[in-house]
Amino acid sequence: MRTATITTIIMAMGIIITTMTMTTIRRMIITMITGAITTTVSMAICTMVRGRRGPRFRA
Amino acid sequence: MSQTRLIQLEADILGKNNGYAQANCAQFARDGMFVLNLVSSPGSGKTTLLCKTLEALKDTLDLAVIEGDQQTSADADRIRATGVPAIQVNTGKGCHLDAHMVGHAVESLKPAKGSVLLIENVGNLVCPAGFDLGEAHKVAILSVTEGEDKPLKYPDMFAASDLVLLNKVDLLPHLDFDIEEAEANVRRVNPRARVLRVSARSGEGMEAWMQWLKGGAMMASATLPATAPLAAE
Ligand SMILES: Nc1nc2c(ncn2[C@@H]2O[C@H](COP(=O)(O)OP(=O)(O)OP(=O)(O)O)[C@@H](O)[C@H]2O)c(=O)[nH]1
Ligand SMILES: [Mg+2]
Repeated sequence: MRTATITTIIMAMGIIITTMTMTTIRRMIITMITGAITTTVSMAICTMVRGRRGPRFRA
Repeated sequence: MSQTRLIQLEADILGKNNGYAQANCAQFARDGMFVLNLVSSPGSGKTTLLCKTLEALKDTLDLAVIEGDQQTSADADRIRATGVPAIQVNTGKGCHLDAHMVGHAVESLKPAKGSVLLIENVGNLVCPAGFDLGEAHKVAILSVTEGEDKPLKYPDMFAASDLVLLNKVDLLPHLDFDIEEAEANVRRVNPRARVLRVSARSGEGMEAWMQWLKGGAMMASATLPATAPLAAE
């Protein structure tokens, strides 16, 4: 969870910095794309971390 | 964390587990299965006792085993060597099996109707006491090398168990373990518990334990409809 939170914060900072330097339309598009990427990456990391902690079944 | 919040969190976790345990229990009842949850401290002889029991009963009963350990599949390998199917659950950071894990394990193990399912929990005298797996009985194993005071120090586990096996009695001549006192301590925390003295090594007392197990298995499978007679040819 902590890893995912840190990744999200870093990526969000990235979005803010990029969008500050752009026009409104471009800003909207880039925000949407990076937003989607941030969510996917942090969810993937969450699953990875949880998966490593969860039980393993060895038949 | 405040005490109220801690209690709330504990209630939530155990409540969720109890839901899964009820589902397991209903399934076991429907399939006429006799399910035992073996609990003890690490090294008291759960796997050794299981192997000896399986060797003796595998020809008369349908048996299956779920092994719980933090890591390795060593215990499941020992069980499989007897010819009985087993699945290993590695709990990783976890200190006990829970009903959800057992549900999944049963799904892949597919034990037969009317069979006996033996679950060896993670070696731990504390946490497994609180987690119902849907079993018919918890069976606590206390080996004579652990000291007669353990039932008093870990009362939850012994209070939750219906049968207590005092294992490794073959070692009694070499120890100053007071077995009468150990039994009295079990009774102090759980007057209902049955106590049997066994040795998985020498086989002493194993007959009584296996009789108890066979009795339970017979009762559990009695609810199953009699096998349908073969259609006339
Ligand atoms: N003398 C003697 N030794 C025993 C007996 N039962 C088990 N042992 C020994 O005790 C040790 C631990 O036995 P295990 O069966 O691995 O114990 P366990 O409870 O399954 O241990 P964990 O799965 O690690 O919690 C082994 O060296 C066994 O040989 C017994 O009745 N008498
Ligand atoms: Mg074991």
